[in-house]
Amino acid sequence: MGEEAREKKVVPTGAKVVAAVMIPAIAALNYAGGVVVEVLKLPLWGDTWATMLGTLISGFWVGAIGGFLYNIIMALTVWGLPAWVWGFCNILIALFTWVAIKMGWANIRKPVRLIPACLIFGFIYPIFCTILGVGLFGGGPSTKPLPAMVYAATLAATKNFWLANYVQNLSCEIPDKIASFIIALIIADRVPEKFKLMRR
Amino acid sequence: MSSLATSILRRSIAEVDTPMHRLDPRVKFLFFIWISVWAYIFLDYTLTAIFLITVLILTFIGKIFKKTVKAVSIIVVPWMAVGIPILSALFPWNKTLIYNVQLFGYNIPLYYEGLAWGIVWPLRIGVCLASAMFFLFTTEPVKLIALLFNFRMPFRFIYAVAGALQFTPILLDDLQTIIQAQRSRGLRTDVSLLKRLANYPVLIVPLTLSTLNKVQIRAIALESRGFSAPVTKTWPYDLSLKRRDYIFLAGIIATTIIFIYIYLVYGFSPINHLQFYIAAG
Repeated sequence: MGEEAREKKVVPTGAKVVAAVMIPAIAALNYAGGVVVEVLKLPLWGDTWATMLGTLISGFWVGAIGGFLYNIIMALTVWGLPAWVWGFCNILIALFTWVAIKMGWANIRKPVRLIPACLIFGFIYPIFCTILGVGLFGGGPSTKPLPAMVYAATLAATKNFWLANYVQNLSCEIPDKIASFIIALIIADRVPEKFKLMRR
Repeated sequence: MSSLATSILRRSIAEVDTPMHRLDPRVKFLFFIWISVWAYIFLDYTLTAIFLITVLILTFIGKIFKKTVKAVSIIVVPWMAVGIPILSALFPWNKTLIYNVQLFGYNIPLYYEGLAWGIVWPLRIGVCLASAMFFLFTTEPVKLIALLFNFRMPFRFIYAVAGALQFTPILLDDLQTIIQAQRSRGLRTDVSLLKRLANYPVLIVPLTLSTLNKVQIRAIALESRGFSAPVTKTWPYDLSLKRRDYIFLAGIIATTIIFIYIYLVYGFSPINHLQFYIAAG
């Protein structure tokens, strides 16, 4: 009981309003992450780390809605309407991050414990991406050269359209999601306590 | 790509008065959804190209043709450039040979099915993107928010959408400042991959912290206007349909009837007669 009272004190006043404002901030940070990736010429997407960060510091719903909103905004502006369904990928990322928090796999000070979370982000998440990518965008090679080469090589070797898309996604998502997760953990570790709405 | 997105997200509505600007935002939003859905129902590159041309004509009337064509080209052309050669040769459902290419002594057969697949999907996205830009660039932000209010969306959601559109350009300005500051401290982008990866937090951490400060300030500002007060929210801007809106809607309904007839009689590929759908073979 005493512990509960102490816990309530550290949550800032008007936490619901802060959470409501945090959602568009997460969406905008995801976008800024993508811009930084282009500035630094990194072979990643870099536009999901803020979903992970939002989940780490403000909880599942803020991360999931912020990530989903990012995809809605991009679908309505740059990517074309069907791209809104990628928002479900962001919800999945928020869910995996939340699971990682609950299972104790989200502690940057204990790197060995990050391995299960990295495996989920690297191998399970691309299954979902592949299903969406083929179903809604027809699959096919990425516009990034390296994944496109991976796609062509897998398709030529196996003649399996779904496998080629999955392997192409693996080549993108393994480095991207693992790097994003580690970066989100590093930043969450440095965020002042007054901004954290989620107790871990 | 990011510069294109930035220019769209920093959108400033053209200060012109065209018939497209005068249309009700609900009608334009309906058109955007409607044509995007039809672009996906038909798997026919000729028909999809006609959809794209129709939208581009509307953007021409709305005086946003140049920026729309530029945006669509940046997305569609590279996609086709990579997709068409690979899929023409390697698409698993290739059947109809159209040409044999001699490359480095190898004979590479190109097929119609892969070529069609590589054309139709980028065109579909082109239609969706062009119609989205038509809606966004001819609709004032205040009308956009009024539209969401009119759809009886929760006010927190309306704030989230409006907030994300406002936040993004602000954050991009902050990011420019941070990049310049870090460059003056020796940040380089022509280094090894690992060093560039290490530079990512160097830019992102200050951006995140400055954003969190803005979140606090915004929360206080919103609360001072009774954001979470338990009262019915009102909106000062009223949307009402005019004669031109009804004419546009009538056009949409008439075309829908024609499309349904075409789909039922001629199928999903009425002009090109493609024989496959999704990856079913």
